Amino acid sequence: MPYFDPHIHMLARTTDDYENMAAAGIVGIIEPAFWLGQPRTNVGSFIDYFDTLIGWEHFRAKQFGIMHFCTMGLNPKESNDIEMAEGVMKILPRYCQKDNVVGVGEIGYDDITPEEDRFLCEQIELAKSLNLPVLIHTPHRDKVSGTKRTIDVIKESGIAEEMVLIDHLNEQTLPLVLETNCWRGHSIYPNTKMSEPRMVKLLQEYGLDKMIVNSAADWGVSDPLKVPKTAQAMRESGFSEEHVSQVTFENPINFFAQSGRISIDMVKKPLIDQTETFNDNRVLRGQNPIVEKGE
Amino acid sequence: MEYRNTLMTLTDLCKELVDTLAPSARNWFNDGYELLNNSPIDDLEDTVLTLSVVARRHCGDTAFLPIQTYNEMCFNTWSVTDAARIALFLIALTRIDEKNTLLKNLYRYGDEPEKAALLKGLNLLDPNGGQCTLAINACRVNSLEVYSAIALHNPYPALYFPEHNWNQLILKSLFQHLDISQIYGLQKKSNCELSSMVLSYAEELVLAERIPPPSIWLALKLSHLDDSALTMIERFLCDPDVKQRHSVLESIEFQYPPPNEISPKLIEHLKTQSQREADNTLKSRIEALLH
Repeated sequence: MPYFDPHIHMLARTTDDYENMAAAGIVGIIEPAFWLGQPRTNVGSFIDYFDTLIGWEHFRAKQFGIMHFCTMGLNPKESNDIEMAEGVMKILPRYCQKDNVVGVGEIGYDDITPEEDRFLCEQIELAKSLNLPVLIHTPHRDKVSGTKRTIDVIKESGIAEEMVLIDHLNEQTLPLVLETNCWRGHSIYPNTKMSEPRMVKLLQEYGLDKMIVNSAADWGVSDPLKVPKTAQAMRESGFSEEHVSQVTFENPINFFAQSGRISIDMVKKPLIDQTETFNDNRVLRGQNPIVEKGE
Repeated sequence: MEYRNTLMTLTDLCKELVDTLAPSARNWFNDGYELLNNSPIDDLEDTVLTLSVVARRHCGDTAFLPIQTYNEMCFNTWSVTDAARIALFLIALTRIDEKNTLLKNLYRYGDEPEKAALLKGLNLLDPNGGQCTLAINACRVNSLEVYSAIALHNPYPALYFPEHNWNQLILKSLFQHLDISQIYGLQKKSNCELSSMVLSYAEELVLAERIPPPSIWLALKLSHLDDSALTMIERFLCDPDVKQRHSVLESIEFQYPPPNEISPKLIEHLKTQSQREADNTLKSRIEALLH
């Protein structure tokens, strides 16, 4: 069965991860734009990062048989540097219209400040103007208040709720989102936040409609195989293959398909050709290139 | 800790510092004092930053222990280098009209220990709270050295932060595994929103099968919350970890002076725990609450 991880920061991951993900059945991913682990200090840093998401990282994923899409956005942590944030907002509309960009995100709240509020609202407006779906990150601190405020902002903006995916939900915040038509994202981590057994319980209790799981794997302790592992946990608790596919493949793709730039039919394992280069750069370091031929 | 109204002055700080410093460091400081007082205004920022850079090599890392007690001041984390830097910053600020710009630049161009020193002395450097934005932005750092400087043993947030930012400071401190009993003004500034945030966080940790940090209970005021909070208190009042039990009990003791205001449900929990408490000190404290 193919899997799709709609929230993973591959820039921070190694080629070993790509190989393991491909071996586990992951055929497509979405990499949301986010921060780098410490604050950027100028707009140029964002430009280079955005270019990498649609350039080198897109290429690198394909070299291991995985389709790479991304979302573009100004993350909440860096929204508090107003001068820089305003500069990023000027370049975002252009980047949101690039090929392989399937939404605006990940945006939302970090400390829930007026500045974060402003740029969340502006980016939702941008998404509306470009007819793009929105990926919203609920804060890691003060999660319940942040989720409530997020829902309020969505309602105030007038964006169609089904165009919004609210992510990093748990037992406390999922019920809040279930009262809306927004999609419901859950990030499965090792040892913290949300786990496979807890996710299965949520699916059993609340059903599968608009439910999405992801690994949100990044530079921290995280596991890029959490989507297939959650799929396995679902099977072991009695979910059918059809239901497993709904949560771990169809739901995430169908949400982002609202961009018009991705679809179920489009997402297939790409043929690997490791003789290819990107700006003369290659992923191999002397290894024999894998070249797969189509049927 | 109590709130009082009179701050330490520059003269007080310099006297305490000079009495503490070794002779060579004292000479260096006195020279710096004169240099700053005679520096052209245009050179002032550069002069004070240059003095600050070398302060630690002259003054060292021993603790700064003033002889006198000063109101709304907390020196628990100050080294003599911190005190020297703060004094030098303060001297420069007294000479200039554009204090806000200078203070921002001192923070911006300082390295992490210098930023930390400025934040520790912010109460003196910004006695009216006009630079609250600088302090609030400082809370967004990931550096534990800088964050601890504004969060722990520092009166400034308690005096000047709006409630939302104060609450975020408490929550982030818990996230960073800091002991929030070291946050100045914690009990006095408890509020409904904070209690609710902290309870949510504790519940989130329990759902993730993680252990709440023991000091978390100090930010939770039961009178702000419904009975669901009592469930959490009951659970950790009999936790296997004595630090958790200690912290829960301390939270109860803070919240209910005098003890005869404790709710009947909580009294029942305490009676039950009194019978099974293995630690004699905690047992005595529970019994004191009950009687």
